[in-house]
Amino acid sequence: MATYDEWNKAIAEYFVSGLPSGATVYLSVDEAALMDIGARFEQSEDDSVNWVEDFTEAVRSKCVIGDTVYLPRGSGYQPDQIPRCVAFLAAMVLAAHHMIGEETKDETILQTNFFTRLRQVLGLSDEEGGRPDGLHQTGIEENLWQIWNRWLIGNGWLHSAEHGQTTYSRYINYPLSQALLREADQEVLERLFRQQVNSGQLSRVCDTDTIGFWVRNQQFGSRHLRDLIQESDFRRYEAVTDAVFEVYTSIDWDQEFDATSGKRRIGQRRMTAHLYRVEDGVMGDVKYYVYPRQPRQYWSGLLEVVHNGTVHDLRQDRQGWFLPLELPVSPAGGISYEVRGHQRVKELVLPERKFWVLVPDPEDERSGIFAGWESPKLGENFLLLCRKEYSEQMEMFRQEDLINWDHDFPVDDEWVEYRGCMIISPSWDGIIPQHQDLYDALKPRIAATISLKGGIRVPNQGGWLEGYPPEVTIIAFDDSVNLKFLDTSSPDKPIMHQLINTNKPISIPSLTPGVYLFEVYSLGKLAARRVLRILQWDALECRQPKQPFPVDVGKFTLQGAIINVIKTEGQEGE
Amino acid sequence: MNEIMRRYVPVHMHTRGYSPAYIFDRIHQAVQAENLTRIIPAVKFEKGAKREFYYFFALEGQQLDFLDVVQTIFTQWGVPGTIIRELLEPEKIKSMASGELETHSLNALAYKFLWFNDAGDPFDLSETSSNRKDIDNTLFGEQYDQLLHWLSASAEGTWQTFARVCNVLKLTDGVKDARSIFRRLILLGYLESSEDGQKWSICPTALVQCATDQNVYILTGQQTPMLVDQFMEHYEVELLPQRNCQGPSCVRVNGIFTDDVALNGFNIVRAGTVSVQLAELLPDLEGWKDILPAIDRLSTTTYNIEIWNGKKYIQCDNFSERNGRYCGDSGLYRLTKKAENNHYQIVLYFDQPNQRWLRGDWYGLRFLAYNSAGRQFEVKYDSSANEVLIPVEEHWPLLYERALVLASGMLPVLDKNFRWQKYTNVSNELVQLLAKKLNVSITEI
Repeated sequence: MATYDEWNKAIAEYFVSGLPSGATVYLSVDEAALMDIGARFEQSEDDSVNWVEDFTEAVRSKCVIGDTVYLPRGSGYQPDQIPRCVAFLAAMVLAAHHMIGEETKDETILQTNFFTRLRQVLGLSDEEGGRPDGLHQTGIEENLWQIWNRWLIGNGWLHSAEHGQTTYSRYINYPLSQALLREADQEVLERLFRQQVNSGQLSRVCDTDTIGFWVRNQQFGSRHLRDLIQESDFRRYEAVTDAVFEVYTSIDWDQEFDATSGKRRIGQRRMTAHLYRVEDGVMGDVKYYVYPRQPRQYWSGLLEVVHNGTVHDLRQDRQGWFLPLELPVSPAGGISYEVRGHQRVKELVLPERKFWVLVPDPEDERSGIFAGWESPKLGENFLLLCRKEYSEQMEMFRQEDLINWDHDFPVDDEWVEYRGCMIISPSWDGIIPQHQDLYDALKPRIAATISLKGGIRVPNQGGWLEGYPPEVTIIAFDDSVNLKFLDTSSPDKPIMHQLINTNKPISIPSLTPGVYLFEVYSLGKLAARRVLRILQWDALECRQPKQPFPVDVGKFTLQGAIINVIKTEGQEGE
Repeated sequence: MNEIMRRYVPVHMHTRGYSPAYIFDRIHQAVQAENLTRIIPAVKFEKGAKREFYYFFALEGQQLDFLDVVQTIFTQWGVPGTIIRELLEPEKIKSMASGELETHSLNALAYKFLWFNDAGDPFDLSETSSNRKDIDNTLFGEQYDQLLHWLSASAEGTWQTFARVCNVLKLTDGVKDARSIFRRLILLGYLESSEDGQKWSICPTALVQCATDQNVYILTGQQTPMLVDQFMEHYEVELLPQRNCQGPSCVRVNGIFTDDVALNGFNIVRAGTVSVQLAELLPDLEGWKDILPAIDRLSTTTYNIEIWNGKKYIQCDNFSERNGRYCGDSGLYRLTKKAENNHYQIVLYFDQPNQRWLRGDWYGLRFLAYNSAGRQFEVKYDSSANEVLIPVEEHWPLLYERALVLASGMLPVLDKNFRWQKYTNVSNELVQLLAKKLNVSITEI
């Protein structure tokens, strides 16, 4: 049996692994996640251990004595600085996941239902209902959520747990906001995917964006699922898309869906790849490579890709991505590769696509490399690589002043690159497109972007060096927005909280090392958030390059001052 | 599916004196002030509209009766023209206009093309401004240290970002001067670059023994303030500014090291007397030329070609390709792509006898060009001071110069006439080894 502390650490690491800096974290704990986490304790995929029970036992052993709940101390942290409250919060989210078919607009009933489920998770009697002893003080658990949120921000991620807007929902909204897809939702989605694939409406090898757009055009009976899929909040949009996509990539197409048990099998998992574009300035060639995305909750272990008998190791590039494979590919995609090294992950797929939206490297925007790291931000250039059949549509978008670009470049007879693209208008709703898929991909979903440019940034350490902060500009379609800028160590005393003009650099005070947060509000709603870390020079640590460049001088190689003499065959035997 | 459809309302302009720019400005002010940008997002004008013309404003999600509201607002804000009470689809308005229509969004971002990269060769030092003046600016030294610390923490990156950070640290005004800094950091054993110079990676930390003093070591490779502090806690360390503040401080460690050093889990390689080892292992000039990376199947017809004449690049119109052979003299060439939107440059040495285009450090390729032209190279050596002087115009190839620099960990300085570069702590053995490899004569002074 794993201890509370072991579960605590494992859960925290599970939900942040593979997430790039600046990503929003959802503590979306359900039974499948607990089974996945538990299996890692023993490095096995043995399904016979009920890790859900193991988890609940661990939480009960730490947090329940008799009929009373004892919350983890707010000031408690594990030796590696993970707050000790994570496992308890996970138990709350598990309770939220168990609220199947209990959708109601009546918040008092919702609250009662939640605490009934929580009592069940904590092994307490659910006859009385309502908050159990130890949690009677309304909102007593909020501090723990805030500790979790601060830990996320301090490590470069963004939090998603927040209180509700009404009296009854204020505190239960924290766990409810974390429960994305419930078990029943996942089953509904899997049935729908299977049905659509079998009827030829959908392919087995779609990518995230395609699935995201497709699912938003479907109708669902469940109110919870409907509301979730149509969520317009920019913070939840991508998380929901990723959760839906995870269901899709977990489907084992060669096995029947086990409808009778009502439980989804977590079987085969597929990795998807994006396109990685590099340009050889000398030759003028443009090349595209396979850029594998790390599976969500990927923790470690050597994965290999096999192609034409050659084995390629998958090595980490950055959080969420492996280094591109040395396999030039056509942008048409539609290729799959065998993956070895993991019982669950079987294949890597480069989806078949008619266009790709590629952005400059967020870690090094001047590198000349473009890939699908994220959606284009407002005010930033991106590259659209598409089949020539989209040219007319692009011209129409330009004529309607929705998008502009610098020049187009024919890659070959079928594909063209639109370089220096920028979305310039928010008013896409009135346009009837010829190609809905391109329209959906380009239409902006965000109202503002917090642009941080210049200064001296340390890649992979998520911050800028003291004395050389970035230039800050809020890019938005509105002329002004409300900006809140705060030091996360003093969140109640914002450094700035005022109306500012958009689309020009703003002046911020000199910053000492720490973690800061920008929040932009447009028309009263949160429109953008971004963490800014200022790093101390004295705290810099040496990192190892992933791609060193030793000089080959024939009989030896040289790397700085380190000489490696290459032994000949005769010398090797000596 | 989109439920809100964009349709256009025509407005007839029959009064002279109002330009489309004026009309747009009026509408823009009105729509912004009345918070209507989501309902009236754009305006279309006929290109070249003069006396009598139509313009069309977009209306989204509204019906005909909303035009009463619009009329009131337009009148209030002095927007000229007569609104025609129709809602037309985009295709229909084309027939009303006498010419092509152009669209102006009322809440658009200003388009900017943000992709400005230096298309030059990172190795090309032909146009760098002389930074050989006496610079008594200690701040420069600190900024070079910061550059090294940032490089060490980043571990790897692109040439473009390197140049940008040099600019932010105010070590350079432009990209071209950053090329000299790039080269100096490679000389000092901090960085290596990809063959095309477009990427760099930090080198492992190493302790290099001075060629003329066995108890003195210099630290090369990646370094952060934390690492240097840890060294200072355990060993006797001096931080020596580079002469003329042209690079990071030389970290000199006094002591005897017989093996690698581990400091709080960080390994530092004991590299020994690298300068002499390098001098022994390096090939001669022909051997070095043979191992230089070559560009295969270079089609010179797609480039504008210039040749280095000893002082600058000049147009070279007599270079050609015929029947699979390049016809031209051996020398240092700069090739600039002729393609539109691609002005990349590359500097190469053309090895005429072997028909190869070779890539390498600029001084090295220039050295090859002078050698192929028959120049006799010489250096001056002061054995009492362990100093060697090399003419600025005959700067050695980087690998050979690195051996000289790693003898002391210090970059060379110019003499008072700016004609010679002086390297210190260079033993007789070292200069003899290297001069022989490069076919350079030594004059004792």
